[in-house]
Amino acid sequence: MILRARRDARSEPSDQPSHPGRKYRGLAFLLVMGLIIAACGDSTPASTTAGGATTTAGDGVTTTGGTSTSACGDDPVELLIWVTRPYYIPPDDFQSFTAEYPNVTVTFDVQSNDDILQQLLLRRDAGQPLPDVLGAEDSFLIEAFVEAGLIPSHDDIATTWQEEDPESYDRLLPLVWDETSLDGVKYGASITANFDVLYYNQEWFDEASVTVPFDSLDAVLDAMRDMKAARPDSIPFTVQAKAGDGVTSLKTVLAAAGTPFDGAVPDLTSEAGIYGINWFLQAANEGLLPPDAIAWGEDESRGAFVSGNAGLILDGFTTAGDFNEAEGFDYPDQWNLTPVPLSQSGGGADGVALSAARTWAVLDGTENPCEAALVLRYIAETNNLIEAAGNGSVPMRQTEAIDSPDLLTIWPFFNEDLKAAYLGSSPTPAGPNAGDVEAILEQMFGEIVVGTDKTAEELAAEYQPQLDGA
Amino acid sequence: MVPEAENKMTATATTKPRRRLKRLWQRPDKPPSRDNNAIIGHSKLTPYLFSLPAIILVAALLGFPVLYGMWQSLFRAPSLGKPVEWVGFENYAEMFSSSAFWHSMNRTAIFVFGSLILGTALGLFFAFALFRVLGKLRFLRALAVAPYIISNVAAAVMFRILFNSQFGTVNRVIEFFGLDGPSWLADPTLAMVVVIFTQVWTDLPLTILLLLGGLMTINKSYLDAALVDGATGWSRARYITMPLLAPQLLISTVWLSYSTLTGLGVVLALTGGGPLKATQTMAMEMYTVAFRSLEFNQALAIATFILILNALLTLGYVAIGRRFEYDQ
Repeated sequence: MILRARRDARSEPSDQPSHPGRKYRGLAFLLVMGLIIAACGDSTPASTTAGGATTTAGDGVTTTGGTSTSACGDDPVELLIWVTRPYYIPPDDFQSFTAEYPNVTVTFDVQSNDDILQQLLLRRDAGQPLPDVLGAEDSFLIEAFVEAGLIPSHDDIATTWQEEDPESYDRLLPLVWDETSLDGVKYGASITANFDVLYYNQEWFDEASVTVPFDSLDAVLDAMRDMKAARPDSIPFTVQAKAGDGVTSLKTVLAAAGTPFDGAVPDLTSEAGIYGINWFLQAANEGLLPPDAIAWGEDESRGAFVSGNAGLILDGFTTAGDFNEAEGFDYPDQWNLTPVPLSQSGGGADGVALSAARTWAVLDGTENPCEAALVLRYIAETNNLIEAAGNGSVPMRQTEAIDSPDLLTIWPFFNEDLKAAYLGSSPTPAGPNAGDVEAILEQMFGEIVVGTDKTAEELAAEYQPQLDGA
Repeated sequence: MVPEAENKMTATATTKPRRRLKRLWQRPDKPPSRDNNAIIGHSKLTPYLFSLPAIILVAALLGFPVLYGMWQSLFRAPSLGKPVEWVGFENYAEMFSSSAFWHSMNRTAIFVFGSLILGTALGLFFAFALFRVLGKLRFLRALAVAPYIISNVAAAVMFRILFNSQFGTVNRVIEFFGLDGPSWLADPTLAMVVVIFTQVWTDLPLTILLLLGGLMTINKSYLDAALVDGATGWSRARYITMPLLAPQLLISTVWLSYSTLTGLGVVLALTGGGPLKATQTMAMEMYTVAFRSLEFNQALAIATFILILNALLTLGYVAIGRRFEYDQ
């Protein structure tokens, strides 16, 4: 009875006014449902006002104009651009572009480079619109992009560019198109590219009486030995060998020694392949390269160099900008850089320098291919390339910009030796199996760095079949 | 006047008190009579009807992606971006025949059980210590939660710096005592130790909270009675506190096991699976297969295996936990 009475007391008569909290609960419910619906909808980044450039993924910048003056058409056009680094976007955030083509609205978004291909595939599978233009570092995966049907032929884009703006087109190095060509068909424009260089500590080199430029890879090893002799407890040479961070330095040395590549797969059993492996084996076994480097990512290896704990580092050219900003570590008094020699023992070139391109491509399915193609021209403009370089971007494959005195004010260290090495560089060996190849090479490189009793021939014999099967 | 049902309840409780207590929540002795004032009325379907919206929502948001992932693990794309084709259990067959997979299983076993042992031991230690703190020192209980609000990737980066052999604080401290610090992240064994330690550090607050909460619910009269009977501190902990803490220990074990088995952030940011694949756990292997080899369906097979393994381990923990079940 008591229980019944309590239950009755809890049951409010229906004519009682509802509790005000219910209204808020109802509103909250609607809000949650709205958010769910919004989350299921188009996730295109919201536009913000012009000039509000951000560096975080998901944020964008929009600049709008009025009537079009473009040859593409006068209708209002919206372009979505994905880039994998914020500094690929010229500092004016497309303002000069939209000034020239006022009917075009540009929104850009920074996406992670690690899984850009997967993101695009997922987006397409989910029925979401793809961006119109992509600026990514995965040029070594261009074949995979093409195979996945994400990038169409750029032959027409290149032809139209050449016809409409021959001056701008002719300023591009052939590598811009060659890098992304498959069976003679162009699939994007690799307008900028990074390349590996040797950074050295000037004081250490002076102590060890080492002079640059090096004429051979053997000379680099000798320089390390001299530094070790001058500073027995030091780290003469460092690279990044952390799992998952890639093996760019190994590939750079292999290519410089003249190792042939079949797609992304190096021929480790070749004479040059054995030399390249042996080069690192000697460095590791003689204590010139610390075993700790197996756990070093770019932060640790660069930190060791900037803090004066390492005398030599093999790293990308863009790092020079970071070194230049390091306080108390001044160029050229304390550090400098020199190209990686392309000869094993001196006398002629055995191999090639590799460059890792940043490729711009119009994506398949864009409704505005004409306007999207104009973005590529905008990126390739001289002043935009130079300003982007000042923002932390990489060297450009464009003659006017790379020869510009303005570039030297931004990169005083970009000397003639480096420029020649860059202009003579070849694309990084590529293929759809590049990821698997990297993983296998990484394992071998790890063995070398931590120290192994195996010879270069044994390592090559062990890993080549794995590479061939990748 | 005592109602008939109430009278019957008292009688049953007198004859089989323990069994009665256990079944009380499961099934009433007599179904309540139909309530004419209720909107729908009592029926077996009523609770399910009320739960249906939540069930649908949970199934849609959580269940569907899992089932879809399992379904997709039975397909494979002939090449990247092309439509997938039905391959049945081929992805699983390949997975089980892969030496990399079994290597990652081995690494995962060490990682999970190492984390469980260390996490539970430290969780108990800190829970007992924080249970004892009095007065103003109770703020330490709040402080113990701090690691939980730090992203595990950020924690991994922090530990990577701490354990750096050249300039890390840990080796600096060791050097202070005149010893040479080891190459923590370059040595395969030590790298696993650091990974386990970091994972435990990020998971420890929840373990502490669970165990501390359990300690707080223990009826003090049991401990007082044991004290009067002359039980030592260890005896009280062994025979009273620990058995009564079993439910919380079970939950923390399930949580730690799940967290380490599926944990990717710490390993990825700390070692990337290295050195020489020494910390290549199954979650890392799944990541590698998906994002380096670009074999998404193969990666989903690994994800499904992790899910099943997780469920089996949880069932195992629950089965073991039931042996120590004890009613207060």
